[in-house]
Amino acid sequence: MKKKNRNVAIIGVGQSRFSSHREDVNQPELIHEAVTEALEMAGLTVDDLDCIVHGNMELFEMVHQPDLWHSLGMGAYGKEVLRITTGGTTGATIAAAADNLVASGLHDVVVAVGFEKLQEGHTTGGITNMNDPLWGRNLQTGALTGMQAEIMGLEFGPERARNAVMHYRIIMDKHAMLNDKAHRRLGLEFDQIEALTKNSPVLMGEMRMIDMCSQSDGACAVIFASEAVAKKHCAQPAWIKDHITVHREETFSIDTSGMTTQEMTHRYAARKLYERNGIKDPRREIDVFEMYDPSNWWGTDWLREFLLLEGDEHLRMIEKHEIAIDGSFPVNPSGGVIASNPIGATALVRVGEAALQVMGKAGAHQVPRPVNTALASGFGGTLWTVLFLLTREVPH
Amino acid sequence: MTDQEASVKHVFQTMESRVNAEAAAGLTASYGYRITGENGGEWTVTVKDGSVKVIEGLHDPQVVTTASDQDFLALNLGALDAMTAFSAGRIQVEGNMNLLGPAARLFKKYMPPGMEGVEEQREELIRLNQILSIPQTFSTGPIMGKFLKGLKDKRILANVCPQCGRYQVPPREVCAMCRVRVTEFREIGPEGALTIADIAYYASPDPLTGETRETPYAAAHFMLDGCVGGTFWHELNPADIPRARPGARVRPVWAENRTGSINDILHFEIVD
Repeated sequence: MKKKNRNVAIIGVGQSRFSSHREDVNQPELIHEAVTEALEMAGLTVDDLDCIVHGNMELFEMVHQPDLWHSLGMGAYGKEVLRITTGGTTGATIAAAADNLVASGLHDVVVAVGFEKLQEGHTTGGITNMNDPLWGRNLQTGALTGMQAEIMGLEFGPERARNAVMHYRIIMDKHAMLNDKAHRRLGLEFDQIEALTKNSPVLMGEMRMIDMCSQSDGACAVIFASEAVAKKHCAQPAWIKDHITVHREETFSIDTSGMTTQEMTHRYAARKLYERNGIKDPRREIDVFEMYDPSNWWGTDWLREFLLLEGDEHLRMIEKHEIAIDGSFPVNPSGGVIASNPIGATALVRVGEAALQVMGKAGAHQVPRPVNTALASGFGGTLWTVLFLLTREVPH
Repeated sequence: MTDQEASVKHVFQTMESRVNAEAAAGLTASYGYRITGENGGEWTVTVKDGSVKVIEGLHDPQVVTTASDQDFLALNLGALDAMTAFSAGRIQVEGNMNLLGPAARLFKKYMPPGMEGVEEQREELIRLNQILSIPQTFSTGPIMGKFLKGLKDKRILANVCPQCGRYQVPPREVCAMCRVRVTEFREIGPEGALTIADIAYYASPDPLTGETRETPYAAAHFMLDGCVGGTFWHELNPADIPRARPGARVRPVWAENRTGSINDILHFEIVD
């Protein structure tokens, strides 16, 4: 296991209501909703916070250094504040930073704050500007791509692939229906698969609107505490066992063509994380997985990567509904990214939701079995993966 | 006290008086509405030269939205979110979907009868619209610069890794796999084969011009003749989209005036 100076746990998680437009609040107020809820859960006040780590998508709302504007909303007055932005993985990166800060001994209580108010900005313009200005920017089509659907259709046949991802989609929606905070709760049923597919407009290739995540406004706050503080304030903290970050900017354009022979970042990250934590059978040893799934195509494909599977094992898992909240390997009991995607907060919500599962505080979408080990992933930018391992037991 | 309730008919009756002049300016389009149910009906909203006309019936609209009377009213009262309803299949759209974007702010918020004044008094939300125009210049550096210069002469240059032999195009300072410096350039193509195409049906605004692109268009990867390991990322001629399949032979279509940029190649077309 990675050597850590001291243990860190999550003791509070707060989320604003996610919606397509939170016109009722400005950015600091939106963040305040999440921070207040996290503090309440942790039994702490703003004065107990030592440091704030803030993040969101670079310039998506066209506000430079928004952490300054958000000071009062996140209890940053007089505190140390760091701002980190790593694209879609931002939320998970700020979680990693918060964990590192507390583990280091520099701070005892750090809150990670992620947010996005997409209604106030321009998502596609923002994402497209991520690419190399001399070449890629003209070609990139924002976050939308039909390549995954194309590749999966070639491997499994378009019908089976489409059927599997629709099952994935509907399972995610059923989970979202259990989550008060979720943005999109559509009430979908499995007998609607044909109608939904046919009536959903194509966006890119075979990727249709029904397949894609939402664009949401929202904020998330997660409180990381030292072992001493955690044990004092929290009956069942969610302990950070480990986390890993992997990315592949240098092979981005090769990977999108499907031409790379390199191991995909998700698989590499999972393999390394399991190795160094003695996990031999992730499908059995992990009790719940909050996966960053921007579309059902990716969610389906990445199940294979994260669980180190081969062939069509992942399709069979989905076809048999093993990923449902009461299945053998629950995925995204919160509804995942397809239900709510306030980008800068999204990856943090994955970590937060995994923590809620370990803490037993997920309410109606609590997985109905003991959660000893939870996995959470972040994804973004140029194949950037962050993977978190949370445990019920104190790591030693 | 009102003797009339909010209704689908009232929504359409009040549309012309609720127009947002700035949203209507510069927009020319016709929107059809097919509202089903007891309290439904059909209407066409035409926007032209800054003015908006609402008439009953469907008169050749460019895009038609179908919804139940209940859902349509809920949408206008803010009780139902459009994207949610659309994704769940409760709203259907036929025709040019791209016209819906510009119409999003065409009308001020609908108020039920008797409440028209209330919204104006209550509405303190101040919205600031800004169009940013930022002039930018980027240095290419010698590696990318050599490649872009090559395009002016209708030459496509890749560089070759001394360790693994993989070609990179556009060329990069180091091999992405081996992380060693790459100095040898070789000309590839210009013809090749289509590897995979990403066909866009939904218009994303062009980040460099702010304009909405015409759809469908296709960003695609091509394995150019003589190239080993790396594909060339560019565009496929939209007219060739129906014929696009892995392995199709392609060649570049060069621009008349070449300046040393990605636009020196208009796109790749399929060769018969």
